[in-house]
Amino acid sequence: MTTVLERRLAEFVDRDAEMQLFCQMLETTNKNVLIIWGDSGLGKSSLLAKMIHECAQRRVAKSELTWTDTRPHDYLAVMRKIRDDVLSSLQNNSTGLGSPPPFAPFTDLVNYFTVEHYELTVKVEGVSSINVAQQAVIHNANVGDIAGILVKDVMLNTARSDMAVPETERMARLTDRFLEDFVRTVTSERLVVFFDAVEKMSSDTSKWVWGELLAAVRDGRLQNVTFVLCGQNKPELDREWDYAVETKGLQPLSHQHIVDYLTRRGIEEGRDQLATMLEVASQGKISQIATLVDGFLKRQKSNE
Amino acid sequence: MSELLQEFGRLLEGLTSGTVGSSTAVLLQLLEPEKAEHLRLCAIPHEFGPKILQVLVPAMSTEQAEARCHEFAELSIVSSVNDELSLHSTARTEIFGQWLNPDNRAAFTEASKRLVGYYDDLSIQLAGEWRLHRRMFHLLGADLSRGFSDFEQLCRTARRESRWSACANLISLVHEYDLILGPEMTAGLSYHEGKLASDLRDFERAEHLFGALIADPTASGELRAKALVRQGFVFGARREFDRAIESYQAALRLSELLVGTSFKEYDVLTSLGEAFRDSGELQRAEQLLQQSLTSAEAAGDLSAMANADNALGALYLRRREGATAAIYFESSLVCLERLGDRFRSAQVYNNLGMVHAEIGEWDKAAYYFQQSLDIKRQAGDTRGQAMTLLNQVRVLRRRNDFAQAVEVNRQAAALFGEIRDTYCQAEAQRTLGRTYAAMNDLESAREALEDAASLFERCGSGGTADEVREEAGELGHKIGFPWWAWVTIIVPLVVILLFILVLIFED
Repeated sequence: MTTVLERRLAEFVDRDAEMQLFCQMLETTNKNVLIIWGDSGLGKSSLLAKMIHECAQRRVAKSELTWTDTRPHDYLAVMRKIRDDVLSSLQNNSTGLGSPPPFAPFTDLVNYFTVEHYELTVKVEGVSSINVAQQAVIHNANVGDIAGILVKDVMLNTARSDMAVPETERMARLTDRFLEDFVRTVTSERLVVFFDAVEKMSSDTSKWVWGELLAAVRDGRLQNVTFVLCGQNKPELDREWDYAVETKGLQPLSHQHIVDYLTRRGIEEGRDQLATMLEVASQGKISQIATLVDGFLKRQKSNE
Repeated sequence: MSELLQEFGRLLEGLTSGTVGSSTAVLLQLLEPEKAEHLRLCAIPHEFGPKILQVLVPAMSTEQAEARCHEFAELSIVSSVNDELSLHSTARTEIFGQWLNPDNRAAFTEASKRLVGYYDDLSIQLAGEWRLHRRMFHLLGADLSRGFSDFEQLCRTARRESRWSACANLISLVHEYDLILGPEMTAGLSYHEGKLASDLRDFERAEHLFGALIADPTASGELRAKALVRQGFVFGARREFDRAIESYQAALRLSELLVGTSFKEYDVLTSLGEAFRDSGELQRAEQLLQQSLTSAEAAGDLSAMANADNALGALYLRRREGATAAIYFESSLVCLERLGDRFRSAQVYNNLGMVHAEIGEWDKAAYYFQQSLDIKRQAGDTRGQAMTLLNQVRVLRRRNDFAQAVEVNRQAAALFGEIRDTYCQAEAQRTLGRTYAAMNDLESAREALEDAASLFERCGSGGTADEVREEAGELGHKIGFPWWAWVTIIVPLVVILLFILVLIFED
């Protein structure tokens, strides 16, 4: 029995150029950010599903995050999701003898900033001396003895009330620690991070994604990670992004692609006539075409 | 088949000509009526699944709900996100808009009430914030005014905790009810949007939102007065003090007409006094701040008293009346202590340190700076620590303790760097350069100033970077006199010497 996803992947048409570009990006390291943009209904999410499937076939690790009307992922949620996805995709949860487990320092710091009376448990080698550690008592502080420490994220979001760390500082410190851990963890194998419906990101999250996360990719600090962002709006980027970003605007489906789609949906009789009608009615928007074909097939089934 | 094609063709013609609204409308027409109705109901929440479908259609059994969801999942219009089903946003927006029509309101309100009950039953602690947002969204559908109050409460909490994404999300959820919100709530929503824009330092948008609200005759007097105050904050943050003063004054005039509101005039008086102080009108500022303090004392508002005392202290410090300034800062500290607000007192300790430095009481200054630093360290406020350290540098320089000044200055710059406050880091580097220059260590001074210029450039302050480079360039020339001074000295000397020689040889 095929799943809904499998069926939808089998019905996927067009977007060869976009897929080709994506595959190219997986194989090279020239550009590591792909922006897919286009109006609602042009099939951005379906294309993303196809790319995710491609990753699965190539055994490339991935992380997915979709913004919805009631899931307003902020910068912390983004980092937590990437961390969790990376950890679940890692075969070997260690980055070497004497090093803390992947993302343990980051998780430790998240807890430190959100849980009252929390004390840091992981000491990171090379972290500058005048920082949070000045306020914190660090247990088991010998670097090298802490590989086995498991730090569980308490999953609180609000700042701890027994401190008054300004939000900008909390964000800067968590981001730095996250990126350090991210770089340390994703060393040899490629990871693809998919962001869908980015137009639903709040302005501050968008600023953080571009100014911190993607800037780390652009500046070469974060390697082996490819980001794919899908959204309705074409981003306005400075020239400094030219070397890191590929953008692709999705176009409506052509008549031939609609015919192809109908074939995949099992429609044979009157296919060309139907394709013409659908092209006019939908202006080539795949989501509308798919919805109309759903209705058509439902009615056909009930007539039988 | 041809009959079906013809029927379908007619529907699509209707779609093209505009008599049938959309592809979603066509689908709903082609589905069995019961399924179509269930799909419409699924557009009320943003996400659905068997449990929510049962809430929407209470007569449905668990098996029926699961089967129906399974069926809906097959539709292209439905996608699965985070283990929940959701309608494509365009389709959902269209159907949701239809639910807000007066004809459908009764059924919509009932469904919303059931959804509120569903989210009430879920454990809030385990379920996460997003469920509170969903509850608020459906409460708006069930009872608009209660829902809006819930929105305001959630938005204030999120704002207090600097969770801007949560605020933005709440605002966008309320906007889904724009068609039925009414002028008062629309104005209230604009006010929260303006505050968020201001928090995110999007001052242009904030100014636009507050400006529209102030000009909106349907908005309540209290809300317009609050918007004027917020507009004043925006102007103040942009250092447009004259405009800030105008806004605060307009807010005060409007507040005179208000009866029985929570509007605190003394808070506005403090802001107005600070704006006058910062624009240099110290006498007017003093009068307003004293007036504010008296009113706050009469109201027994410790927090407002602490603010007014601190603002007055800063005013007297600016007038170089250290002893008076110290009295007000001390008084502010007493209020904060009574409030139990330790973190806010850190800034007042810092100000006290400045006062004692001003009157040359170095040990006291050092003591208060240390108090401030200790609290800021405990609070984890790195930026605050760096600011106090920079103030310490100024004191150390005045005491000619340059070695210590350099050490503290370096710490301050490093702290600003850690939290990526590039502008302040640049300022700290500039101060370091000047400290070295005062020590006559010109090479280190030049190096620090060059660093400062690069940092200013990085944060987009090219003009300041040029000034700092010029300052660095002038350092070398300051060794001895400039060339024209040498000419002015040497030429007369040569002339005098020649004159003497002439006199000697004549003899």
